[in-house]
Amino acid sequence: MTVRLLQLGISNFRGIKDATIDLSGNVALIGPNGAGKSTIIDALCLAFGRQKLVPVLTEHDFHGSSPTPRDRFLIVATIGGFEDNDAGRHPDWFRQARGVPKWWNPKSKSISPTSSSPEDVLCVQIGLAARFDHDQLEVEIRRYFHDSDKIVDPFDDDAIVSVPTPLLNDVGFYLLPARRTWEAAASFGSELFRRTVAGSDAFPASSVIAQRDELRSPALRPEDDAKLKNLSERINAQLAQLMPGNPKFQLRVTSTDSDSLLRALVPHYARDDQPSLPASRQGTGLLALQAFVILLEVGRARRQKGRSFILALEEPELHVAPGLQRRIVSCTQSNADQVLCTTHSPEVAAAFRAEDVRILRAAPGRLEAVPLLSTNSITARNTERRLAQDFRAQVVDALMHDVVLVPEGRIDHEWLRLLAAISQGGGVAAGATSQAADAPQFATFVGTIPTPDAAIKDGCEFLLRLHHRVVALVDGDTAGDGYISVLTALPCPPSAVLQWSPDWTIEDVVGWIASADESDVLKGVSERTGQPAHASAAKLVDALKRADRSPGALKGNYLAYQDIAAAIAESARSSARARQLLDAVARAARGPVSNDPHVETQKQSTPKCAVLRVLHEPRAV
Amino acid sequence: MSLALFEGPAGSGKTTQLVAEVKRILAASPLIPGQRVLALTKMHGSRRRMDAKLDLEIRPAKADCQTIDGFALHLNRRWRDLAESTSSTRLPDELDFKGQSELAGQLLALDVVATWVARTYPIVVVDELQDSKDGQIRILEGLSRATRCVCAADEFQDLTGDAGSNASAWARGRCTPVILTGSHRTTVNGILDAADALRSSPPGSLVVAKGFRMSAVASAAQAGAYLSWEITSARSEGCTSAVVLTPTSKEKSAFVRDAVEWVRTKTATSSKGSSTSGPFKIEWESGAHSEVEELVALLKLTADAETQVNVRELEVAARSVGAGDVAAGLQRRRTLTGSETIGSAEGYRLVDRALSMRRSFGVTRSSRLSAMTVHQAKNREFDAVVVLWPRKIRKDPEMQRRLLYNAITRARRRVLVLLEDSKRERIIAPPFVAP
Repeated sequence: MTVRLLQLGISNFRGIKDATIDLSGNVALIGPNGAGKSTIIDALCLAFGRQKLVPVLTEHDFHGSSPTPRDRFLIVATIGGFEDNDAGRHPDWFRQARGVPKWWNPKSKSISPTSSSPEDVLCVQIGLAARFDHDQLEVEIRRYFHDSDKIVDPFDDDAIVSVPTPLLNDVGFYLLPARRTWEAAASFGSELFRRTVAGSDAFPASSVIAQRDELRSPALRPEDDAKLKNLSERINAQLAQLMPGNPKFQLRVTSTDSDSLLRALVPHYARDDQPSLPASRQGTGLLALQAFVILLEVGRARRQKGRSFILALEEPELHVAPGLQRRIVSCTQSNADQVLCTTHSPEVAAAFRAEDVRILRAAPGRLEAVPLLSTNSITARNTERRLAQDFRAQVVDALMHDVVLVPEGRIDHEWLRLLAAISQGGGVAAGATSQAADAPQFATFVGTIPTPDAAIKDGCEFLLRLHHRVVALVDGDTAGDGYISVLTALPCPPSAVLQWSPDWTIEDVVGWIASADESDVLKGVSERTGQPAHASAAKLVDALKRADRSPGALKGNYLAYQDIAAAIAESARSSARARQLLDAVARAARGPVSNDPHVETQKQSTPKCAVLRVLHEPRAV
Repeated sequence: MSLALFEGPAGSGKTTQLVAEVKRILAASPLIPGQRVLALTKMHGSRRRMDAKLDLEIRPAKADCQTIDGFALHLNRRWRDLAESTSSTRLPDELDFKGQSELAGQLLALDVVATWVARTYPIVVVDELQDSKDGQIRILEGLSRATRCVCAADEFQDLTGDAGSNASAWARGRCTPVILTGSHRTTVNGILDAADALRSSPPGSLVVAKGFRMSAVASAAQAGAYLSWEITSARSEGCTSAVVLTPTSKEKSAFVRDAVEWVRTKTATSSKGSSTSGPFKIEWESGAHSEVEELVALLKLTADAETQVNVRELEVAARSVGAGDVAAGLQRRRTLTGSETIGSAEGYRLVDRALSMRRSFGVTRSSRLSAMTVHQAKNREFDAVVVLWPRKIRKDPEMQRRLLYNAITRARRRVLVLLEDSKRERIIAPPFVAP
């Protein structure tokens, strides 16, 4: 049978008061730092008996860090994948002294005691409860069959049945952790390695014995070494006088038994023609892979015996180059029955199907894993499909920020990206002011997406499902005003809608930035593009706005954008302007603002959605 | 799956046949690892005795012995979600044993539940089937569909007086019973004849004979003296176990209480004064209910749920009366909830639970000389039996016959019945004399 995880319930554990996470299928969980990724991984480890991979439990593992004697934290893992969904075929799991059958519905993702539709999947729930003992100052845990959510206290219930450890091994849950004890991974000091070797009947017994015998009677005997010989003889003489039996001093490598020999083995790697080096001296990439490869071997051995193998990868992007990240994931997908991955890398996220990606949304005390695609890929709306599939990396990147900014279109997104890079100080500008030393607000806190086909409303709706703070950015023209009306009227509107100065589009923004140092910037542009310089910043803006095939039209010419941005970056004054404006956007986006000279609240503001104009020139406050 | 029933009078070897049948089934279809034999009994005391018996006989197979109420409670708890979704009424309270049995019976009517139990317990053993009622019968009905059920019964030994639901009749409707006869317990004719007389329809008169004697006594003191001499006499004859049986608990009858107390404290002298007997240390076997009441009174717990009592004080009090297990239960509760007080009602329940654990799993100090109710003596046997027959007794003649029958059939070698009968009128009336 192939066990699969279906669902994970977490209650009162660390930062989570209550959460139910859908883990059916291969899942990539994406969330920014602090979202709860390691909480989920640790919860899974605790549920399936892998306590050694989790730090020792203390008060801090209880939500609020101050558990009373009555407080409990609870982790409930729902597993399915039983052949034919027939409890009778799995007496190890479903009988009086084991679990009670339950049914999980793949559409509603809910669990009930009876099966009402043929799609229902037979499942069982394993619970892990913990309490803090105030006399011993220790955390006591109990792993049991979670028959019902109505169990009051698993520590004080006569009908609680423990889950026997061999059954947990049936689940076959393994983890490639973020913190890896790298050197030990491929040595006999690692239990995993030892079990892998034993499991594959690969134990090098005869080699070890031969090696051991050699170590007992080595060719080189240190006690006979010219320098040590005198001392050895004097020791032996003295001992002969004090003790019967004539003990003779010898020095041998290891304790000359198989166990110490095995423990003394240190993994080495020889690369190309270089001498072999111990694992601890290898690069972090190799070390990271060492553990992974051994886990794959464990998986292979299990699957060969018809047992299940579920591999969780905790941030596999650590210490590994982007190309390799994707390969690790796809390698796991082919070799495991189920993959669970936590990550903040767009590369890793790209290695999963859109349906399998879940975004972790954390609110105080709560955690949700929201699927990137709200419905399956065939029926999803066009915008949603394009964002989830074609622009997934950018969307994931944006979701990692505090605020997600939805501009009118891809061009806006591209310009914002370039300007943000400039304001980060990407270009070295002479005479940079001390302000540049502060962290740039926009790049740090605001993420943007390339809104496809100018579908700003669809884009907002898509992101509102996935992120708690979504803000739209529209042009200062009447079209922009139109978007404002539409967005503020939504039942669930974005947190704010930002608008540029009256009649301004992003191109006007670029022009204004360039005009801080007009002639130098325009010269710089000309040098890079190889075209004659524009007569004025205004002319540059015109060219930027022209989308037709006329000569000099620059709209949509991303290469030209880069040249212009580079030219701007060279100018300290222009860079400063870029930064000042983007910081204003960031402040407005992060909200709430009051008395900000560069942000003006507009009359279309509603209690749910603030409409703010970002001004390039400060107003009087 | 199947139901097998063994029927027969007391001492006919029902329990032995029951266990033999289990062994036969095990030989034909051995248990797979993780499976066990399930034995269901009505009371905790019998649970322990069945456990010991089975353990010895069916090794290496293992048995789980549970009270049928305990089994029902556990089942209902594990399947509570299903119970809630299929039942229209509220689920029964933990202490509502009848309701719990009903619910368990309903759950076991479902295939999914019955097969779930059967996977762990393919064989179910029920001794004293006649004691099962209502919901309990439905539980057995459900179990018998999915497991191999082996039962033993003797209707005449049903002491509840509730003719309404008859488990033996139910079983007889499902299979052909194996009828057992004769007594393997005793060969003493006096006892056998008396048992037959009580059992037959119409009932006969009891006749004094070798091994079976009856006496009308005028007072508890006189009963005590007779009892004392009987013990001496039994011992000199080589009896190694003796018991004092009473149809009424010692709380309800001063006659019973005082007679036993007399033997515990006084010496009987022969009429010539040449020999003496006693005193003898007769231990009252603790009754379920009385033990709880005693402890509850001692700990000053009242039924009034409002009163809050200090837990530490209770612990100390419990330990001082040797109820270490109750103290441990209180301490655990304190640790789990962090509360220094406990409601009176909850305290009562905690005491009840700790003591039933003790009855279930505790080791009895088997004293050679016990006093107990006829109920508590069920399915047990002793070399010598003395029956104290007080005035305070159930009026129903059928019940009286059954009580007396159950009492005297506990004996292997000798029986003495002492009636509280100063006017010598009860000894010439039923059940001692044919109606």
